[in-house]
Amino acid sequence: MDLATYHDPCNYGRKAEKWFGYGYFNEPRWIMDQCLENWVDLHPNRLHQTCCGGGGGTLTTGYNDERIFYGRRKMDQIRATGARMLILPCHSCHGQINAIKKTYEMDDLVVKYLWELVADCLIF
Amino acid sequence: MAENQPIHIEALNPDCCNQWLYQQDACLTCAMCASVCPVAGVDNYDPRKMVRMVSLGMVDQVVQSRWPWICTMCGKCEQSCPMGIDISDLTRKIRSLREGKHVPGILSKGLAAALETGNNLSLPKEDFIFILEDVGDEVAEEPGLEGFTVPIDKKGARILTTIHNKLVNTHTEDLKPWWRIFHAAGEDWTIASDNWEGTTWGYFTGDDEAMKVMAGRIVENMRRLEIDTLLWPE
Amino acid sequence: MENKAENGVRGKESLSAEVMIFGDSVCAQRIAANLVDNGIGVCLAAGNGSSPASIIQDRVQWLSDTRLNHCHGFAGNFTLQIDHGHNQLKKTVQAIVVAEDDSRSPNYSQYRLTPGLRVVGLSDLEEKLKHSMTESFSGTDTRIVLLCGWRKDAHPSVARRMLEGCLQLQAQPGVSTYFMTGNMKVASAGSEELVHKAKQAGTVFFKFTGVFPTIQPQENGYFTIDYPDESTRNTFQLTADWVVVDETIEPANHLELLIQKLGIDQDHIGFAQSDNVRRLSNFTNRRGIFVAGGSRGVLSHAEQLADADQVSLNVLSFLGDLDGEPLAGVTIKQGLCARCLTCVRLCPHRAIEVGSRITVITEACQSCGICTAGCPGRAIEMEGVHIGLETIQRMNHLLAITFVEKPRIVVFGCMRSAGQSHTLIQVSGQALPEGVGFVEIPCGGTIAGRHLLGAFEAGADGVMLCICHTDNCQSEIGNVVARKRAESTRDLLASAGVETERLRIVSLSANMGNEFVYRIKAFIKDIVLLNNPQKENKNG
Repeated sequence: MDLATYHDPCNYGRKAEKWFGYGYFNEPRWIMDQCLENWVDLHPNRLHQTCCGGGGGTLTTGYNDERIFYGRRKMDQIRATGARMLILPCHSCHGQINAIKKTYEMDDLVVKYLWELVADCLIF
Repeated sequence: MAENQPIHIEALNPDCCNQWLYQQDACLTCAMCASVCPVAGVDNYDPRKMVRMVSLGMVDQVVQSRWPWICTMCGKCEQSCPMGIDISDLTRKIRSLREGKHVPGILSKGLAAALETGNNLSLPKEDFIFILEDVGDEVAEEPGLEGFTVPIDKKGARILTTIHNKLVNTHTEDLKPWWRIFHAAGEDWTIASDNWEGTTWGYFTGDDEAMKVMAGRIVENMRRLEIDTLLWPE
Repeated sequence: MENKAENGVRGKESLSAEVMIFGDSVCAQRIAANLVDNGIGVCLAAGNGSSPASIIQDRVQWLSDTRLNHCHGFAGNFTLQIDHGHNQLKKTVQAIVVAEDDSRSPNYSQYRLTPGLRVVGLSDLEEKLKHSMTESFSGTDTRIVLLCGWRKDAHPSVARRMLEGCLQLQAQPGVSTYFMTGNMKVASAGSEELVHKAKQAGTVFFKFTGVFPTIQPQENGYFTIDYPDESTRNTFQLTADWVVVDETIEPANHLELLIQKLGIDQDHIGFAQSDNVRRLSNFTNRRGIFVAGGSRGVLSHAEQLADADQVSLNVLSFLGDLDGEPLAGVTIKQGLCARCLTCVRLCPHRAIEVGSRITVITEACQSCGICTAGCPGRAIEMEGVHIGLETIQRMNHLLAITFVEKPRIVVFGCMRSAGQSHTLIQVSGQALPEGVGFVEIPCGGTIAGRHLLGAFEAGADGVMLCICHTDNCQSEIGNVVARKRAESTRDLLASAGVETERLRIVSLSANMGNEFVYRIKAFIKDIVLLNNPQKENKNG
């Protein structure tokens, strides 16, 4: 099975921790463990993760060059893991990574919602 | 901003933002924020610059710049700040000072539509229901999911879920995973036919009042449908 | 009537006091009060024209317009010759405290300013604020710029005073303050709070690290200040009504003379206490001579007062111990002494007296043994210290243990650092590696080249000399001379065809037990390689 990795969205992690005193770091990783045999964390991760560049409404402002440039670090981190599939639980991150992966020559990267991963694992 | 003309300090009003609660005045200009910011350098922006300009009373210049809009408010800056300045909240505050018609892109338009019609797309109720039922029919054709239907406005269901507008616009495929999970889990769930929008662009424009309205509508849906649990993946 | 004393000192009869205090600073007067309260007789040598504060008035001998001419004697019995006006005084005291004020001067040149009507130094500002002479500062729309530590960091105590002054100015009606600083240690006690308060009060802060503003005096007496701001990358301009400059704190001018006459060490700036942690808080290289307040470094007002109390306790404790047993058992064998004075030059404690004979003043001696190792005639002996003999005993023991196949190492270590570390590993149930003999010495400076060579002669494969870190030697120079002696011993080894790597010098402190063992093991490893060079050649 191809290697997968997981991206912590800012709002579920770092910002949730700041505002509500609890960041959702362990729960998605537990789900990843249940669904995948072969996945690795990005570096840096959890509280210290880097934003994908799609947050804060930047997908709608029209400043696309800036947004694509913003995503360079995230794409480097994903590339460094060698993962072929990226799992994340955020609509903005999902939209951003899919939109910029071609620019960073990572067309083959599969981007999935966390719940999509769960649904894919169901056997009917 | 004319970079060559000196700015006269005495003409500025450093007291203008004293009442703000972001502690921008505590800045020691250490530049930790600038060093972690993924978008520092773009448009000559960096968080320290913004913080310092605000604390010197140069708010208008910051409001007029693109900086608060190319920032994603990811919070790396404030996480590294030794003085605990709420830099991303400050950015959001700066965004709120931009007049609606000058807000870049479709944020203002989408938010106005949401406040008026209940969703960013101004999608009529019957179109919304049609899309849900259409995608529901596709799901019901999948093996093991025979008989699946989308429960709309089901009173007394266990879970109410909201919908991201893009899922009833360009990304209808992405509606299906949750529905498959609900079906497999035998979940008792529903979608509201009005005010189903899960996104709140007031979060991006710094419009707290709009956020309250949007969240209030979801709460109202829960009351109306007598549901205790909300699934709000947006 | 004048009477000529035996040694040529003219003047009034000798005055007696137990403690002599040099200086009339707030700190000095507080020390005097503390000592007098404890029944100690105090004489205070003050500057010209100053007068005692009420707390000590009529309770101390107050001498103004004095200059120290000569000091001889030792702890418990110092004799001072002092110029007092046109007279000379001879005073015998048991202890001496140097507590002169520091010298403060505004930093005009750091900001390329010249003193002027609208340029105010920090101390001047404080005077004005203290006496509520602030009318000139207030008025409509008065802008005051405070300049602090641009090209050289301001001392934290100076920066704090600048901030306090800034806060008071900002509170004046119609005044806006601008604080322009270089790097500032906000982590020093109280600074961050002051910065925060000033910001809340409305002071505008600018910080510079590389490019500094230019300050241009205008014809009308005001200033135009232009500067590129590092964080916003804008160019700013400000017209200021007043400029306040910080100040440099330095040793008082006449401190140099006192240091010289008293024979005490000074630090790199010229304060009367060397940069040696062992001297803290108030000690000098000489027993019975203490230093406090603005004489020993840059101290804030509060720190100077605390220092006065601290030195008072130290002096009382010293006076209380005077009747006890002297430390030293160091003696000079007269038949061997050639009066070369090497010991006089070496002694960091000024404990060698040159009279009809050269003798050790036991009251001043601190038993470091630097003189014993330095004496070319080997005329100086230290009771209970037999380094050469102990080395041979350790080596004989190692040679007698036949199953020890490792190289045999002698480790010399100062009792204040390596000795303590050695005890530390023993009490924690560890032992030194096999094949190691440890010889504890009173100070690194007790080691002579002959001791190091003696260890090799006795059969050691390697010798390790453990000394204290820089500026950590109880005897100021023990670690320095030890290093020099070991290095010249290395030259001797090289000329004899012995690998110089067999002699290693290591700096250690008292709490480095594990490090001590680790360093010895690393040394053994290197010596093994030197002993078996063919092992290396196998691969080569």
